[in-house]
Amino acid sequence: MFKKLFKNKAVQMNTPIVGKVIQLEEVPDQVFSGKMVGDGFAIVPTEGKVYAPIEGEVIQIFPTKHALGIKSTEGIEVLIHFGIDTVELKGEGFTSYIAAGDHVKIGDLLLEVDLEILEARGKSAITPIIFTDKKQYKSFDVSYKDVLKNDSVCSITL
Amino acid sequence: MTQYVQLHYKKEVKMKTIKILSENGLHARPASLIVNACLEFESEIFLVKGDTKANARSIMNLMAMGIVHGDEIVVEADGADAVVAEEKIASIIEGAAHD
Repeated sequence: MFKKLFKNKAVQMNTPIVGKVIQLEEVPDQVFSGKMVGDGFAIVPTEGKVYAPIEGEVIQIFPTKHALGIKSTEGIEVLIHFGIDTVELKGEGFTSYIAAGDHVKIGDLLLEVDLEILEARGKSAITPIIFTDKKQYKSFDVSYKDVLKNDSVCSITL
Repeated sequence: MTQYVQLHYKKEVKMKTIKILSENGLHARPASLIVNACLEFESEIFLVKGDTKANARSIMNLMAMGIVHGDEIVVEADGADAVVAEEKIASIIEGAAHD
């Protein structure tokens, strides 16, 4: 009983993108599949929209808008890196609705991406979702499945 | 006067400015190389761009600097292996020129 009472706190994270959740190891870029940036999972998007998966503060959006970071209220940093090698598009096809320092709530629209432009430029839309600092959590549990907006995708144990 | 010159010289040596030649700036790939290289040093290591300073051990902080092509940055380390650390990190940034 006490074990249950004192169990570690878990944070639920919604999917930032509608699509299919896959293992990070399946991402066709060694920087992510080799977990050099951190651990996490990835999404094969079926829609070019990124929503806040967690409540917190926008830490950064890279000048090319292909990657953004959020620090959750609980102190977990999450990097959303839309597509592979999309830094090379220099912002083409990306529309951002946020800036560093913004407070975001779960479900807020952060970014819109024109998936047709990515395809035309030969870029994969597979999006790694990375917990960049392993000191900020104990473990996480991902639901590898097809996800719709507002679906829970990951439980993070603090 | 001699003292001043020496200090000035030391500072010049330590504060090497690096111009970012990489077309894509300092994004996820080079940032992860920097973070991983920092693991072999015990010094505190920072990248400085203008008024902003990032902990080079944090990928999120590095990416938050939004370092792009043409930016000028400085590697700053503080600790026992600071000089080696600065050289190593600077060489990684310069080596990523064609990334």
